[in-house]
Amino acid sequence: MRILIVEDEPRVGHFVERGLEQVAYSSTWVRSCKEADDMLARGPFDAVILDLSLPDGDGLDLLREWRGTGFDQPVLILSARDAVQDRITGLNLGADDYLAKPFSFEELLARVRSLLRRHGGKKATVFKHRGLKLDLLSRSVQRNGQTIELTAREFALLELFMQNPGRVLSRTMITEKVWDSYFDADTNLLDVYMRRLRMKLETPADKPCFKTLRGVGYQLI
Amino acid sequence: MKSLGSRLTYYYALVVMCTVISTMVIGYWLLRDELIHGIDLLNNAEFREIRDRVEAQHAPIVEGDFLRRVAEHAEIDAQLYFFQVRRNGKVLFRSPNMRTVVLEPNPRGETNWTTATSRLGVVRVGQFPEGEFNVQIATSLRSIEHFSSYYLKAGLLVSGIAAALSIFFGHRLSRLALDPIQRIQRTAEGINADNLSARIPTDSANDEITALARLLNRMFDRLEVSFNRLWRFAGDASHELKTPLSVMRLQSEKLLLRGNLPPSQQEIIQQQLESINRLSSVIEKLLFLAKSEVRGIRPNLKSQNTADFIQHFSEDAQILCEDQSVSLEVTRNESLPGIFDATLLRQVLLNLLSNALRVTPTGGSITIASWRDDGCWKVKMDDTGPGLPAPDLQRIFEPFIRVRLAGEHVSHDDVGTGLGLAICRSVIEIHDGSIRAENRQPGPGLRVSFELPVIAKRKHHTDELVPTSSLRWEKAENSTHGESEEIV
Repeated sequence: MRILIVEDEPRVGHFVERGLEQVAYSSTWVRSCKEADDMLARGPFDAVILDLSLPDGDGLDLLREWRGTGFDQPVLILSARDAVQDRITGLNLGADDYLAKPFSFEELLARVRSLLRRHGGKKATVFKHRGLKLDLLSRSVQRNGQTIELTAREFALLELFMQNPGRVLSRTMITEKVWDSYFDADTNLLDVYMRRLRMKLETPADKPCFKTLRGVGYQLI
Repeated sequence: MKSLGSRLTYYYALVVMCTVISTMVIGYWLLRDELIHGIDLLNNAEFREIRDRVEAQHAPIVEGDFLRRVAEHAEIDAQLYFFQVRRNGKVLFRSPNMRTVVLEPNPRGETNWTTATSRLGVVRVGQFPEGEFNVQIATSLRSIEHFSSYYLKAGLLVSGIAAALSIFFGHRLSRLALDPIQRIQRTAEGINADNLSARIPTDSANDEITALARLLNRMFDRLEVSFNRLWRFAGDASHELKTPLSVMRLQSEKLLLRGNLPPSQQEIIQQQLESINRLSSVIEKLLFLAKSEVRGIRPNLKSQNTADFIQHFSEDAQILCEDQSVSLEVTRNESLPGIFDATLLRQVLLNLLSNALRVTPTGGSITIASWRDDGCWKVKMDDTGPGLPAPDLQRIFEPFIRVRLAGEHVSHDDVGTGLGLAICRSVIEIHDGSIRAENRQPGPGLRVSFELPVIAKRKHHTDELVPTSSLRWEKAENSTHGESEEIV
C-alpha cells in the first residue's frame, strides 16, 4: 500500500510519514501542489492525504483537477482552515473523508484503513473479535455464544469498534460516525453510551472489552 | 400609501386632476360670462331698434305712440324678449308673454342684471331710459342653463377620462422612474457574506440614480475588501493556531500510547491532551460565532418533520438524564413539516440540555415541549434548578458568560467553554428565530425557549415544500455525505 502525503507543515508531514511507515504503509511526503502532481504522475498510489493550505496553491483546486482527469483513488482531506466550509466543499469535490486539525494520529490511521478497505471492495457482514460476534445482516450481537440486546445507537457504536479492533478511536471520529454529527464534548453523551455498552458486554468474569484513553478516545482490546 | 411607486402615481394623478378640473371651472365662468354679455348686447340692440323707430319721427315722444311702438316689437319678438315700460316707477306696459310677472326695476346704476322670476325663470334684464320712460327688455337664461348642464356632463366625462389616463401614465412614469431603484434593491438583496462580488449595473447616464448606484457599488467594494480581510484573518488565525496544536497533539499522543511512561507522567500527558482538545474546540466555536456574526454560516436546510427530530434527540437526552438521575419528559411533540438544519439545531438542544443538567439537582426533572404557535415552531426546555437572577437572563447568551449558581454541581471534566449558549443564539438567529430564558412561574427552575419561522407550507399544485421564512432555500446537492455545518 502506497500513500501520498501532501502537507506543507514539516513537523506534521514528517510525523505522519514516519507514523505510516511504522505501520507498514509505504508513504511519500511532498510539500507542494507541483511536487504532488509530479509524484502522482510517476507512480500509482492507493490513497492520498491532502492538506488544503499549500504554499503554491489550494488543495481543493488540486483535488478538483485530479478528479477531473479521472483519478479515483481515495483522498482524505486534512485541514486547519475552516472545518465547516472546507468539509462541505471538499466532500462535494470528491474527497472521501475529511479530518480537521488538530487531529489524532490514531484517528488518521483508522480513517485511512477504512478508506482503503472501502476502496478495496471487501465488505464484511460479520465481525468477530475475542468472543464477540457482530452480524450486520441479522443485526445481532453475541458474546461467547450468548445473544446480547443492544439499542440501535449501541449497535452502531459497537460496529465501529469491531471494524477497527485494537485501534484507538478518537471521540470526534466516533461521534461523527455514530451520530453523524460533530457534537461537542461539552456533553458526556459518548461516555455514558460507552458505560452502557460496557455494562452489557463486559461481565466480571471476563477481561474488559474496552480501554479508555483519557484525552484521546476509546479502544476495543 | 406604502410604496414610493403608488405615491408617485397618486401625486401625478392628483396634479393632473387638479389642472383639468380648475381649467374646466375657469373655462365655465369665462364662457358663461361671455354668453351673458352676448345677451346684454342683444337686449341693447333690441332697445336701439325701438328707440330708432321712435326718434325717427322727429317729434316729442307721445305716450300712446311710444307704447304702441313697443307693443309692436313685443308682438314680433315675443319668442325672444319680454318688454316692460315704466314711468316714474309706475308700470305702463308689460308684454303679453310675461303673463302676471312684473319685473322689478334694476338696482340703481345697473344697466344689466340677472333676476329670478316666478313664472319666467331666471332672466337677464337690460334697463334703458328713453325720455321720461324706462324701458326694460328681458331675455330668459334657459339656454345658458342648458349649456351649463351640458358643460357639467362633458366636464364629468373629461375628468373621468383624465383620471383614468393620469393613473395609467402615472403608474408607467413611476415604473420608469423607480426601475433603476428596483435594480439596486435586487442587487443589494443578492449581496451577502457568500456573494459579495455582485454589483449594481450602471450605464453611462449621469442622473441621480446612477450616481447613487455608483456610490453603493463603491461601498460594496469597501465591504468586500473588509469582509475578505476578515475571512482571511479568521482562516489564517485558525491555521496558525491549529498547526502547532496538531504537532503538540501528535507528539503527546505518541508519548502516551508508545512511551511506556510511569502513571504519574501519563496523567500529565492526558491532561495536556484534554487541554489541546478544549483549545481546538474553543477555536472552532469562536470561528463559528465570528462567521455567524457576519451571516457567513450557510445552514444546510432540509425539509423534515419536527416530531421525528425531537424524538431522535430525546433518545439521547434520556440517556444523559438517566446518567444523572434526572427524569426527562417530552410533554408535547407536535408533528410539523419544517425546513431547518438538523445538525445545528441538535447542537442547540444538546447545549441547552447540558446546561440544564448542570444545574438540576439529582431527582429533579427536565421537560421538553415542541409545538406550533402563531405559524412558528416553538420549543421549550424547563429544568427544576434554582433559576437565574433577572439581570443574568439575557446575559447568558453572550460569549464567555458563565453564570455561577449556588446549586451548580460542576465536575472538572464537563465545565463548558462558556460558548455553548452563545452558539445556541447564533444558530437560532441563522434560522431567523429568537431565543430567550426566563424563570419558571411558579418556580424554581429555568425555562429556555426558542421559536423559529421554519414551518413549511405546502404549495397547492406542486406539493413542494417551501420555507416560510426568508432563509435561502437550497436543494441539498449531495445528501449521502453529511455536508452540513458542524461545530467541533
